[in-house]
Amino acid sequence: MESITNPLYFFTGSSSTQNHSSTSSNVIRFIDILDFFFIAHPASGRKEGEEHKRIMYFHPKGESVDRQTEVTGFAEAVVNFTDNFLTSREINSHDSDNFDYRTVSTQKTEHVYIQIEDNNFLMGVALSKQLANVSEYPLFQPAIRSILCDAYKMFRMFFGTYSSFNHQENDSKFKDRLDFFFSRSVPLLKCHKMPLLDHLGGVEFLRMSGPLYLNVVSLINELQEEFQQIDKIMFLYQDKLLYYQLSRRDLPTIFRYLTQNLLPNSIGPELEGANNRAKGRYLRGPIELSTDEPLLGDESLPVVHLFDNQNGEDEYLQRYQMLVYRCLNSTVCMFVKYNTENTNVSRRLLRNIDQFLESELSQVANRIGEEIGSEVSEPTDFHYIYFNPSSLSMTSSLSSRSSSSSKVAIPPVEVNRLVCDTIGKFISDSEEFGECFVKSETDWWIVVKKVNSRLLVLIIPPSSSTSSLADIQSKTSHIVRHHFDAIFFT
Amino acid sequence: MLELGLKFINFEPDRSFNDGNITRNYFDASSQRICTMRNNGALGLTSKSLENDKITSVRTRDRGEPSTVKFSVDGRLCATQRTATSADVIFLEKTENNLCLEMTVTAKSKEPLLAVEWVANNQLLLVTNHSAELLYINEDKKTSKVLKSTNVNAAWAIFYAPSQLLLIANGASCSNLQPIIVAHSNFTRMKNFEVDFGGSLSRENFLEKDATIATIYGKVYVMVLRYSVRNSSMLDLYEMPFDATNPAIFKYSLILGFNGQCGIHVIDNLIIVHHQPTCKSLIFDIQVSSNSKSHSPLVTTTIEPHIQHQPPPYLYTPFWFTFLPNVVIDSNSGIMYSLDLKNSKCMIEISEKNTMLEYLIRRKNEKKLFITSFLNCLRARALSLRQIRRIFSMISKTKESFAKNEKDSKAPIIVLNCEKYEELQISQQEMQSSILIPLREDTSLNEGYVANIMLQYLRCLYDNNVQPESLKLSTSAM
Repeated sequence: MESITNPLYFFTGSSSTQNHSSTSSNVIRFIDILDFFFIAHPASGRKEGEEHKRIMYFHPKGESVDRQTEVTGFAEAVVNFTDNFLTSREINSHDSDNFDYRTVSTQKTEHVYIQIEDNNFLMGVALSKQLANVSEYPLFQPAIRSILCDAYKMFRMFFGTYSSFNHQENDSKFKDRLDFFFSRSVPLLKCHKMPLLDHLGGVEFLRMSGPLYLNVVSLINELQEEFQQIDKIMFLYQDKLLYYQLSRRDLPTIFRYLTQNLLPNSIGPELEGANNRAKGRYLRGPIELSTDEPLLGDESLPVVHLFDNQNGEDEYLQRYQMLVYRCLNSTVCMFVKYNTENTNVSRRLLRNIDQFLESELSQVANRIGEEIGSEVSEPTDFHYIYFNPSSLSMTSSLSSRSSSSSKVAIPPVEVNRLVCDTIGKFISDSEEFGECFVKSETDWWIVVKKVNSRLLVLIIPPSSSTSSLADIQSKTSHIVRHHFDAIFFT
Repeated sequence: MLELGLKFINFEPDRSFNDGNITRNYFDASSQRICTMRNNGALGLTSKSLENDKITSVRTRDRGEPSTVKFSVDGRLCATQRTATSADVIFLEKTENNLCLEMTVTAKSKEPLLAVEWVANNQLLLVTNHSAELLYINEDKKTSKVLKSTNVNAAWAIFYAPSQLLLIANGASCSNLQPIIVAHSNFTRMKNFEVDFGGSLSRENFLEKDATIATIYGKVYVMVLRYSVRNSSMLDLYEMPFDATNPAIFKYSLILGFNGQCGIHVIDNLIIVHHQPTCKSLIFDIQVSSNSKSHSPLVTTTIEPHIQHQPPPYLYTPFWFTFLPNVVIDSNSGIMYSLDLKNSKCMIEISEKNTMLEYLIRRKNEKKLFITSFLNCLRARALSLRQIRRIFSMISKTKESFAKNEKDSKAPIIVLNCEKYEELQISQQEMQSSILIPLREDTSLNEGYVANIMLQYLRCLYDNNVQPESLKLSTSAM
């Protein structure tokens, strides 16, 4: 295991992200509605009088041990008790991140528990209904569950599974890590005021023309041919995805880390050093590349745990060194398998990749910039969420970093809640097709269309031209034809 | 990679007999003819060329030993200089008592002549120390008339017939060059420019023999041999502009790696420098890494004689004289040879496959050889994807995209003309049938590799703004 002095690559410059959020009202801070958050290892607290030992991490920290024990004990009890009623339990396949979960709704709070790593660990969260009301956040249990799972996956990406810590022998180190990670990441967590966005958890792709995309593919092919040690590549332009070779299980997590943490923090120096913009650089790791000193301490590259299935069988976690190279708004993320004994990524390799990529990448980036710069998308008079589960592609006018603007104000909390309820109650997860029109009490229309598992949600503000169902149906078909023609078939 | 004597022609070598008979040979670079004078023409004037079989054989009066012999473009007139101040025009097709008719011309000032050159069939150019004069020769009346004259100081002058470019050297060390276009019965002065010839106390003046003019890749270059006391010599290339408003610019410097005299050829846009003491020939291609000023030889090789010469002739002898573009004259044995490229040997001589292929792309009439070599390299996976893309990009340009580039540079009035360079183009259908389909059908190749090659090709088409023709077969492979 790498030492704890590893660069704090996941939380640097948290202040800038916070500033960012205060201007955008699409999101709220998770911590503002949080009642408690815990990670427990039930097997450690089996002995009488040592029940508190099952608590691995608890937020808020000031909470008394008794209450912590009580909360985790209750969660464990809920899980065990409800187990009795699960006749045909879905076998938790190793190959997916669909964790077993339980939800509990009390008068004051909404609880979600997930069982992870062969049910050895229990993670739980409770959100306060009152605080959610204050923050105008509609509580939607699937979204809370997704936020909880995402928090776990983010930890796993940087540190590996909980089980890998062998916590029985090394309890304090495990707790240190959990504390180190979650005390910093939980305060930074954001929830969309439209909880559906957190629930779907897709990534935003950049739409571009075929010939231009060919440039990207050809550049990546050339790069991988030249540097065969590069195992996986991901290509972003601004904060949108163009290309990836990662497992779908990792994609949303790493995408979120890059677009919400790493890239926003790297834009600062880019704006200052405007004179040398066409020059590429690495966002992590050493600045000085001309020497051959080993990469140690602050200069070492981040290590991430990603799923791999190169033998074509089940996916398994594998450690990778992450190289993030950026030039003119485009970011190439490269992953090189990490072995403790072998010599890993060296300055020499970084130097060679830099030379290989620099001019070509800036050319490709320039072309992308020209193309997307020429397409000015008009603001829409409605809100939308589009999600394709097979590609994980998601676009929405309600996401926090949405480029596609809408001139309509953000829908009120009851409309957002109604959207969630509509999806939860009328649109089945297992069905590939579905359609639903709902009118809110305040005359907002919600249109949900599901075709071939692709989901489109339209949120249309009150207007005189949309009073009847026929009106809204014709408006819907108009919107689909004009805005979602390429990605959504009617 | 260089072959001597694919074409050759015999002539009577220079000699002086005890009986007073003498034979002298002259090479006229403009018409590319070798002229043999026996007893100063009294026993015969014979001229031959490698390019055609036409042999002129006449007799003239013996009026002293000429210093130059020049033939007009149509080969009907011959100008020869027998005294310092005058030139004689010999009418090769008009005889009287078996002797050709002649007339004598001089410059207006009667000054010594530095150069006598044919500009057109009936236009003779005379250069003296202070002027250049263009004369019209009236064959019927046997008179001459000054069409145009211009005052210019000249230490020496050379004439480059393909572009009708007269290059005059003047200035303190003769290193100031004044280019003049002699066309349409007119003199058009271009911007003069200074060259660095490595002058020092021991080498005061820039000499005529150290300057050469050639057309390379559609541009005219003045090549200057720059000597250095400490290091090896360089061959500097000054690129001539097409218009009269800009001076020539120093463009490339070829590193020769030796000192002293050398022979220069320009064959198929390659500069070939022969070094007699080491029996080596250096081949330079300025398009290889054309962005850098300094160029090392692409290939260092030795000339091989063509198999038809038995016994093989001696090579790099001190009797060799070389003339642009590709003439070698062995004055001892009396043979004029052509020197030709043998591009099929470049697989052995150029080890880097991508350089070798790019070399072949730039050669004239080597499409077939290029396609075979390219396919072989692709099959052997000898190229990286990026190198493949570079090569695709070179061959997938179309005429339209060339024209586009040319238009941009066509702002000023063009005064200098030269042979255009045509890049190799391979049509999409040809690429399909001779490269892509054979690759696809090669079962030993990884499918992903072949698909990547096709993607690179597709990208190059788009990059060059070429509309891809429907590639039915290739798309099904992806």
